[in-house]
Amino acid sequence: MFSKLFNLLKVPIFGLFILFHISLEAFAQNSTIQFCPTLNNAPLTLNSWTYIPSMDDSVKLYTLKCYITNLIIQFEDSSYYSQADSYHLINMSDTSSLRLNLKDIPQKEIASISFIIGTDSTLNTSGILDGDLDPIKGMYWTWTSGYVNFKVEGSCMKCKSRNKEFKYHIGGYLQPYETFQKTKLIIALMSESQISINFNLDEFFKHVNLEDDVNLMTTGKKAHELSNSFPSLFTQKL
Amino acid sequence: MKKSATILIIGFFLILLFSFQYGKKENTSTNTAVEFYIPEGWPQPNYDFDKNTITKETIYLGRVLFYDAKLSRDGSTSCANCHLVYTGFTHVDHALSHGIEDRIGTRNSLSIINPAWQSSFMWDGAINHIEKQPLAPLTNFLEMDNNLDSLLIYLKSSPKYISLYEKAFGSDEEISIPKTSKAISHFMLQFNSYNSKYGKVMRNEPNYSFTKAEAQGYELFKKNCSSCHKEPLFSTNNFMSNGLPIDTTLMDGGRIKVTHRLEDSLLFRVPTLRNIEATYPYMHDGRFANLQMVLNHYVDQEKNTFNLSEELKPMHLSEKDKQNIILFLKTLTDMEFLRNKELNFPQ
Repeated sequence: MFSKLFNLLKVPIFGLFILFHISLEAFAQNSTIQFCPTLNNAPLTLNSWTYIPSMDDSVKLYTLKCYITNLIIQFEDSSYYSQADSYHLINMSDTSSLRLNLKDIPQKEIASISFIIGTDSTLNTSGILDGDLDPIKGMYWTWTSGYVNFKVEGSCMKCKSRNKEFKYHIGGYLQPYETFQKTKLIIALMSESQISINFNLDEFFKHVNLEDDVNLMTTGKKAHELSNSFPSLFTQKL
Repeated sequence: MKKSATILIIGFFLILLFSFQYGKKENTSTNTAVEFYIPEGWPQPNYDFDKNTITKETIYLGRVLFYDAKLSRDGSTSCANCHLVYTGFTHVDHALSHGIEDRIGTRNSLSIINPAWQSSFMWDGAINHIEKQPLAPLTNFLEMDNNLDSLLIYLKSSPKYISLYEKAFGSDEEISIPKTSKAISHFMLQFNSYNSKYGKVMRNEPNYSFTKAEAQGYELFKKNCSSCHKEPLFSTNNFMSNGLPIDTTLMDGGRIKVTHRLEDSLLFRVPTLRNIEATYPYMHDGRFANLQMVLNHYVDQEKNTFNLSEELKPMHLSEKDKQNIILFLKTLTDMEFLRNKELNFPQ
């Protein structure tokens, strides 16, 4: 009797098996998160002077680098996708690094995305790490263990330093002066599989006084206070 | 019926097979893993040996790197310049250590002894993991004054290193900074000292016993020094102040440089006393040329009371007592370690 049953069901069972496998792939997709650095409400271009009204000063940026880690996508149905090995160095000098490719995201409606701007304690206290966390990337302090979470360097007209240069290397993980910040972006309805995020430098420059403080390259209170502005730098681009 | 059943089963196993291709790559090399020996009664080391495979090949690469002066910007200074095996992997006769071009540093180089038990490195604990430690002197302006890009160029252009990295890490991966720093740390993790006279006496080995003076010194040590210099490592991972008056030419705040907390001002790590006879001068700035001066500080001299550690109690010791403590401290010298050919210049 069983062999007869099996005979009847073998094709549908096999068919269902294949269908199931195909369907799993149909419900997943590849998405991208595109970071769009801006200055004075326009796309940022390195090495070009930009007048910033709030500072009444012009700046020219040579370097903009920032760590984005621990990326989590929350869906409307309360489920979430947590990216594995989630640490990325976004570097204005390397435009491909501004785009994060996410593989096999469930094809559901996205409610919000969370990430950490910078590197958390775990990444800072592990052994020596590779990829975007390799010290060769120039975002690692060899003299005191810890990552530079956010690096911006450039010139400003009002700067009184040599070559009118300013350097902000904001880093450190030791409490109470940690400089990594969590943020969560509520995502408005989008039709494409790409999420664009404005990386607004104007917000950062609101908190620095380039005339008086031209360099910050150590851990401590100042770095920590500046890092409080990080979440305000990132908003969804609609 | 049999045919379609067979297709089903084969299909099932094929899918299973494909799902395993994302599994771990097997290490097919024939590298010899090196076990880490923990002496009986010692605490567990801080370094996670379960997570990291230390092999003869990674150790040898680290050893070659450690003794290579070309890692410094001008090819003059290797790690061994300040960290010499004969003197407990520090160097003697320098209050403040010096690097390339006769640049004088800000502190006395620390000995590297039993580092697997350390949770942080440097006098102020600025480095939180041994794998990261080599990068600090490599890039310090006063020490080896190199940069990571130049270092990689040198390593990648050397047939000797290409071969050594391949042997240590496999042929499908490039020479990198993490591999370099790791290899050096694997070598440093071999700097273990537990065969001093003291060690043999503690283990009741035949023909080894303290002299009367050494035994008295040990008793005095336990009463007066062991609150900070705890056995068997003769150090802790804590930062303390032992009341040294501030050297105004250096203005070295110690641990506060790392944490920015006022309560950490003037605190420095408690260094090990193992092989102390061979690692003069003493303290973070090398201000004491010999052990007599150290004991005079602890017993007779006025202390800077700011942030003075409460473990440090007044010591009432006679000159004879001081001598006996010094004689005991000399039993911490481990000639097997200081003369270990495996830790010396690679042949």
